[in-house]
Amino acid sequence: MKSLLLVLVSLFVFGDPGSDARTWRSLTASRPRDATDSLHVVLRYDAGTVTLGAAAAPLLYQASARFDASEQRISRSYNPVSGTLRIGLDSSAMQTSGHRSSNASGNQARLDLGLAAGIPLDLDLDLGATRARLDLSALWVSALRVSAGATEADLTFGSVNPKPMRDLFVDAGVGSVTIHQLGNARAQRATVASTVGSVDLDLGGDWTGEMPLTMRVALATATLRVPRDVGIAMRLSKRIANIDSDGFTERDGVMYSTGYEQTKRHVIIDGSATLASIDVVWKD
Amino acid sequence: MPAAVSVRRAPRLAIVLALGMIAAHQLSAQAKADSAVSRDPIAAALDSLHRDANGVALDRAAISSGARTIESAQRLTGDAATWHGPLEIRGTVDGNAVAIGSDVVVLPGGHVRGDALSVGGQVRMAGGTVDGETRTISAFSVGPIAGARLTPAQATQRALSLAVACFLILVAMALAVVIGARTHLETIASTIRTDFWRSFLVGLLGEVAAVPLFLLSMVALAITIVGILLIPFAAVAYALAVLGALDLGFLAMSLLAGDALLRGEGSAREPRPIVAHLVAGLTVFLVLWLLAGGAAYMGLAGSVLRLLAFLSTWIAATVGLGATILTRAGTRAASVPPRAAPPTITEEYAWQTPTPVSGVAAARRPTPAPRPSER
Repeated sequence: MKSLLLVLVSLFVFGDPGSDARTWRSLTASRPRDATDSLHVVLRYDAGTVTLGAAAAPLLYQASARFDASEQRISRSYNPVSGTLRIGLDSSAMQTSGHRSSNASGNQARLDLGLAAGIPLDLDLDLGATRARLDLSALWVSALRVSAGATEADLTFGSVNPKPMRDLFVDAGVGSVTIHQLGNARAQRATVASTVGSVDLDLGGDWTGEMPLTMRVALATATLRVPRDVGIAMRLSKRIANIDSDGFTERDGVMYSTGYEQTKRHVIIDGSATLASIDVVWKD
Repeated sequence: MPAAVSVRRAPRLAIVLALGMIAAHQLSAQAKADSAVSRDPIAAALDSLHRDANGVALDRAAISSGARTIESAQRLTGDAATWHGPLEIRGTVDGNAVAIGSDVVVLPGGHVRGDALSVGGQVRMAGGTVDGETRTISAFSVGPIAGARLTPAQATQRALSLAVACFLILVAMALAVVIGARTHLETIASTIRTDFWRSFLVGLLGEVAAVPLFLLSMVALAITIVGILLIPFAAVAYALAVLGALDLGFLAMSLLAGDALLRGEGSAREPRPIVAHLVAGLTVFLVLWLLAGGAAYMGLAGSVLRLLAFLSTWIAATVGLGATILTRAGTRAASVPPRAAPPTITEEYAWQTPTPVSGVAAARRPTPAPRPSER
């Protein structure tokens, strides 16, 4: 009887030998820039770590990825006519033989993507349960759309965008998004949204004039880090929301920071806050 | 004694036979697959390369085994590819340059108009140019595709693991039941033995009525506010009760199966080795499911085996459930309908007095004591 049980336990434990042996794969891909004058990037990444930065000089893009081929699929395609690069890691379309451990795979999967500096980039990023480090310094970003799920995203505009960004839209979803030196993006229109997440916006950077910013936060916290030489005008529709309004004065439904008229740079904030908390932190 | 030993070893032998049969089938299938690949490994690699999301479609004619060099004066229309050998480009390739299991080296003067791809190697830019994409993949990354059916080997492994897992869980439950509710189990088993068909019918009714009863009870609870609050707890309790009844009943059926299998062995012993009998009974079902698990290779016979395993298990569970309901989870013996009474002696023969053959000693008729006056 004892031996019979031992045999069965062994069969159970070792019965599916291939299932737990991960099939890790690596992929590298790069393409010369040649005469390409712009690039539209569509990135879909649903699990793991993704980084974005500048590629080495002669390249239009370079990608390096690591993934579990038994549970995930990474694919890339480039359309030279439209100048569109589609790249992404997808776990949802895969089926395993009864075992699914995307957490383990997702935690270790990784994509490092480098993009050409010096050409306008239109970035469309759709992130799932990921950790994203997006260093957009040295890149010319003409438009940026980030749609995040349970993502811990960190965006950095380390240098001034060569030309104003047409549109910037960041939806933090249920994750957290930190944006460093948003002012360097020179966004003509910027929208930041968060639902059950947190947003940390650093409005620093080399910018002048007015920065329009739309914020939509619900069940979330938002922290605005504002240089002291910047004036804030805030018109938010509030529903059970807490806005740190110390030093603000309200006129005609708009809250102005102290010395708003004297400052040369202004942030014009509109949008909504529902069951949310917005803090303004002044920085030197 | 030899008969008893052979009976004791029967389940073990059956499992070994089943595993052996499955292993033989697996080996045979593997051998077939291996032979197919070994016949034309290049064709297999090209197929994988074509299906890989990061691969490329190549003609069989474009690939050659071993090292290959495209000379500087050479211009190749179409693709250049190697199988387990470096591909050196000194001239021009109008299509893609691909090396499977080796490197692509683009030397000075070398020009690839398409993509340069290495599977399991590197693409080395040594002074040449690639117009398209330079790409390396460590190995073919074709994984199981959504909607794709499991291979027979995968299906078998999965079924075997599932069967063994269920068996081990049931054995653990059986031990718990023997420790905590042995008499209940015995009562249920006894009811099944004496009233099989009634148990089956009651079990069938129980299965049919389970969902409507659940819905009714939830609706009843929803009438009051307190009841609404209780709904989640009631739902869980109901599910646990149904599962518990099924489990107890199935174990009782397994006990009977074990009794039948080990009949005669240890009959003189007291008390009966109930654990061994339970495990033996569960093993019967395990063997059925192991056979069904290995049926992926057997076509129609496999389907029949799967159906047989399912039907056996369902009947056992249904009968067990019925007996559990009849005995209120083994807390009381089922009310067995009265058996037909033995024929009574009719008035016609009432006058007859059965008389033993050996005769009856005649009793002395009691007589009243004589009166003193009569003396």
